Amino acid sequence: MDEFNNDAPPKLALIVFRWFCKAEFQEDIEGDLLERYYRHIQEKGMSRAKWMFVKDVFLLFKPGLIFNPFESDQLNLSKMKKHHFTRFAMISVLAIGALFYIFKNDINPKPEKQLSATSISVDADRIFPVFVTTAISQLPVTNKDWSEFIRFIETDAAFSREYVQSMRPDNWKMQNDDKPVYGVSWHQAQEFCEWRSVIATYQNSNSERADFSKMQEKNKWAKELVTYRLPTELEFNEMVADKKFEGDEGFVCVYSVKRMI
Amino acid sequence: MSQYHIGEFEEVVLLTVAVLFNQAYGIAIIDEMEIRLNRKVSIGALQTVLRRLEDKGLLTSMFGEATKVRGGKRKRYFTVTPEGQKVLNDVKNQRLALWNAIPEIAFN
Repeated sequence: MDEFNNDAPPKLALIVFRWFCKAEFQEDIEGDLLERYYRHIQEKGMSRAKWMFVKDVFLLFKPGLIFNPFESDQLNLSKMKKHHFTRFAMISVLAIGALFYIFKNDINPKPEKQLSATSISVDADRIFPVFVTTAISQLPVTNKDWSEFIRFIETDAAFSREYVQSMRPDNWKMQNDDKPVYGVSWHQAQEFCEWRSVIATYQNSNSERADFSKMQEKNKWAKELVTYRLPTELEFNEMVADKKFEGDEGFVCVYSVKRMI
Repeated sequence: MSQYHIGEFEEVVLLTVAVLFNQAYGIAIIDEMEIRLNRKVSIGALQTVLRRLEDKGLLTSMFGEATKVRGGKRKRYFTVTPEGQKVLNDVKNQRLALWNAIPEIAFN
């Protein structure tokens, strides 16, 4: 049977089995599992045999076969020796303390959530829990904002001349006033929002701007992600209904901050 | 009449253990059931029933030899107890009595 030496069964499944199975049943059931496993290797191949081994272990998880810790002398309070009881009590206190600590830390940030009046979500890219603060800007994007955008993309190597050209609104002249920018297409507004998000996130932790690609790279590790986007149809209609926005004065951005915790 | 009522799977396992006589351990019982009954049985399902039958006193078990293919683990051989035999006989007689009670016209 030396040919089986390199065909060890899935270790984790075996550990799990030894952990949950009653001690008095362990030896013969493990023997059955292994005998079946080695036979499956010969009949069905290694990968399928491993999969079937895991399935067999999973199907053994039945009430009659599971080890009950409270039946053992170690955890039976009436049979427990004094020093075992002391150790058990200390571990219990530590476990309760740890749970309390985790719970306390979990609920502590809630006031921040209320301040920001938003919900907790998980950032899918970074798999960290985050708090999101969302606000809709009351002021439309101005000519000054757009001029800044155009100046930046004109000087940054990441943007081609064609791209810069495509970002100029209809009848555009460089203007530095605070009047809303007009003649912006949906695509141009989207691109502006994306650019503004990168700049704002980077400037949260850095005083000077850098190359666009460098800022994008650094933002991947930022603790606060600032995002600008166009409002949804529902948000836009609400703004118009609340008379916060007339609807014919350029466009506004929805601003949100994701804070990693 | 026995004090125990056994289910269909319990009955099949008891009968298979009896068929295998001295060679009834986990994998052998599964193989026998697959060959004779064309029925797939998981180790978990079988072991649960074997332990239950042992608790009821219908089966008894003892450790056998260890082999390398079993990772050095011993086999547990099961045998039917006299109480188990009695239960099997009762079940068989009940079934036969029911079969005999069926009027000839019913299956024609």
